[in-house]
Amino acid sequence: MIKIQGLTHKYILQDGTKVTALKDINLEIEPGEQVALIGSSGAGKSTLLRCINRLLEPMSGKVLIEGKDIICAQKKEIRQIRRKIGMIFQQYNLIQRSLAIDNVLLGRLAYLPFHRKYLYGLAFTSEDYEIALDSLAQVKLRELAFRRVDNLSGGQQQRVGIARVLAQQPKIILADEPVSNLDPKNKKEILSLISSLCQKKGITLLISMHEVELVKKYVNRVIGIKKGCIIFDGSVEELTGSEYEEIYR
Amino acid sequence: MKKSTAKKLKLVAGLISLLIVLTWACKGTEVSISTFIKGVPNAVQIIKVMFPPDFSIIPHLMPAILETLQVAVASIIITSLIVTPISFLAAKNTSPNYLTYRIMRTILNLLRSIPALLYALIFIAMLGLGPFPGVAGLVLHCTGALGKYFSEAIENVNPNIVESTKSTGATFTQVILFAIIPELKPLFLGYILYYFEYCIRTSTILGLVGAGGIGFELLTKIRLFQYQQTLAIIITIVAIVTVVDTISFAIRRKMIGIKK
Repeated sequence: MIKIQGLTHKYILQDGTKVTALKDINLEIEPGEQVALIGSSGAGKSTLLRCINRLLEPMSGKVLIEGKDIICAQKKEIRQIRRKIGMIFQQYNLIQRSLAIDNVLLGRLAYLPFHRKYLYGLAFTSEDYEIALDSLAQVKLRELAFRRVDNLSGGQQQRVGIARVLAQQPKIILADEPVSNLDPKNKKEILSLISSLCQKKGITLLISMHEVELVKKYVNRVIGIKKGCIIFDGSVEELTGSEYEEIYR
Repeated sequence: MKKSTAKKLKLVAGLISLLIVLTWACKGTEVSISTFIKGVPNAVQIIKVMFPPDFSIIPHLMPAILETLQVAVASIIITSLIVTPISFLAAKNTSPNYLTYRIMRTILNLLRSIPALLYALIFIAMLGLGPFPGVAGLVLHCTGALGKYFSEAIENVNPNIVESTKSTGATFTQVILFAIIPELKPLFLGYILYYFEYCIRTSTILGLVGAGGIGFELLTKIRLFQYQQTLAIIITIVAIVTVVDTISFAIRRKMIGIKK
């Protein structure tokens, strides 16, 4: 599903110095796998996720999505690949002043045929609306579809974020610390929601987390990242206390 | 102790320089209290002849009042249509390249630096007397001013929503249309209403240079020494501006209110 080969990324600071964020990452993720990406802040989790859908341009390496290399793809091909990859964000990244349904409809943008692509208020058909409402129903937010996002709680906003991803009808979901800003009860609910949706639909899930504890129940594989390198890759059971400490030291 | 002395010195130096600048400016403009006091009887005289205001002329002025409103409405609508696409070219984060950004910013700065009244004078030479030069002048000035506010708002838009919309596979134009514009819509409408108020105020005096509206009637009445009618027109202008300002302020406050 996802195959990463020799992926390296460096950030260029304002004074021109380069900071290595990812160093020669090699990784393969099978269809339907649920993988947790753990590591401390600045370890390279977010960078890795953003290289997979090319929100960031890696310095070198390959990222193959279903066999297609997104790194050397043309603009149009990138958009077609991105359409299949939903992304859930730590800050939810919603348009605060729009309705929940309008935010979910953004997931349909890449599916619009050319003649409707740029029709500001008339772009979406009733079919798009149905998909969006159905997505909201799947995150149990159907009745709040016509509420403005800034009137929703954090947990509800992240549900809207998940519904937006579902509207994309994705094959892969990248979740970038999706529960870091939520309270303990919401953390559990959102994680189990993401996991069960992925399982039901056979979506491949790559979820980055600060700690492995919360996500242990849901994933079958853990990847530990430290200073831009993968230092652990195995099942939850294989992750021993000492290895866990090593990731965070 | 030392610190407070330095502070006092700074304050004294500041006051002295303020005084020097004020003296320089007043000397150049012949500002003098005695001249002002000498003029008070004249003012009393003018105010006396102004009362009571003669509102009987207002019905005859209806076309001019309507024209003033039409100038403002036409100006702000045309401005909004022009300025929205231009602002995206003049914002660093949405402009196709640095050169376009610099050129558009420079054009907006130049447009803004010339007052609407001055534009109207130039357009009168080109288009003849009437309200059209007034509209053209307002559009150019407001495009410069609104363009600056719009493009700065675009530059400050939350990059997170750009990122999340891009991640769905949307094109860049779609990101602008479906994420940035909806996010900034209340802000844009607020600025537009604010400049509509400005257009109303300015369109009432555009007539002074021959660019249509109630200002022309005002000038005529003053020239004919018909002070009672002059006062009636002034009161009418104040009434129009106040009504429009109040309504627009209420709308703007409501929009900001919903945001929170």
